[in-house]
Amino acid sequence: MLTHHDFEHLVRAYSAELFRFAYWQCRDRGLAEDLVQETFARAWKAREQLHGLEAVKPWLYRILRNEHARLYERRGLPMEDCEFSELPIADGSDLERDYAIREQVAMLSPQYREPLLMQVLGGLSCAEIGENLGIGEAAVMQRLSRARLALRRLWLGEPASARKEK
Amino acid sequence: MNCLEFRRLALANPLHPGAAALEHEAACPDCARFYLDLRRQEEEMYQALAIPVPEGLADRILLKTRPRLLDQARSVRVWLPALAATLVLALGLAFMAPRGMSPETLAAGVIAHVRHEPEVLAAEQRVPMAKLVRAFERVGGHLINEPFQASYAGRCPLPGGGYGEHIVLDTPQGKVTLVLMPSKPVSAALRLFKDGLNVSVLPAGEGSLALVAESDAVVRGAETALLRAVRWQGDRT
Repeated sequence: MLTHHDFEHLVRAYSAELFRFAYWQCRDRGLAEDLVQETFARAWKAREQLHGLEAVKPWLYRILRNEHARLYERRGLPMEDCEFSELPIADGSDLERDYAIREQVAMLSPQYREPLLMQVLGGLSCAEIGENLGIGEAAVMQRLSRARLALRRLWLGEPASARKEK
Repeated sequence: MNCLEFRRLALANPLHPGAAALEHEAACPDCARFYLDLRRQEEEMYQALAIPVPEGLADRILLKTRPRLLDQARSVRVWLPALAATLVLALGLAFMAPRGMSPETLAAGVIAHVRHEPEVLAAEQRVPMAKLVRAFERVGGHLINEPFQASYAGRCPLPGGGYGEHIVLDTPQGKVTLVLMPSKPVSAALRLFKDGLNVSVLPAGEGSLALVAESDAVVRGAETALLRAVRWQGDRT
């Protein structure tokens, strides 16, 4: 079972990437931090459900997704209500490029965007993403391929029909 | 594997398309170009999405979780020692936890390190590929091919403590110093020009890497080559 020491290690190892994932789910830094806080609080309470530390990362993502869904149930948050020009920018980055990429990623429908964020930000495998989303690995691969294909079309400036993947 | 299958796999998982896909890529120039472009876009996407994380986030999470840990301790009738331990731990976290070094400080430290070791840049060893592979492995990287001939490779102290790998690569445009820093994670890529040197600090696996050269073009060329030549464990560089 998860010890205090393990737990502290997990918080230090995964809080940053979970924060980013949460941020791109809710687009609010304060809310994203609350989500990560609650994720770890629930993880500690439910630590008996964790079977082996190797499964911890997808487990934390699953808790966070559930917390996010619960938040929507409670507050009925509006989706995608932010101005992209107001988003925080990482140091040393190309502002124009980052702005364009964020806008393009946001144009993907959630069923494509969510697995993409899990893979790009969290480094989860297709199998782990599938487990999280309750779909098969092949379906995950298909969604990821389609998401990147749509983004490439946007990057290459094609007037793609896939601007909003259905 | 044909080109269509390769592209499907690469689009689904650009960092780990699998051994068969990489074999195809090595033999197909068109797919190799496609893959290089895809990985560059992947890196740009990560950089755009990897927004800065609030400072002290992990410490705040741990401090807020303490009461719950304390409840567990109470339930086994050891509340007083647990309270003391929790307070000590909380105070320790507040005052003694090592603060992550900012990318700017790290970059400046790497430049100072390179400036202090001019003899390393002048070395003309022919470092065997096996030594390079081991150096990357020590920091969680898997070297798929040799990006450039290395003229030096050795361990070095890192800014703020710890050890990394100091490698000098001989690129067609000139020499570039590569410092692999497994214990120095950075939240985002950073470029800096200081003391006549250009440095690029990038996330790499669980840590970071720095490329240093007088010419920015040399640094950028080396970045592109490394992106193609190295896979990092548990990360996306």
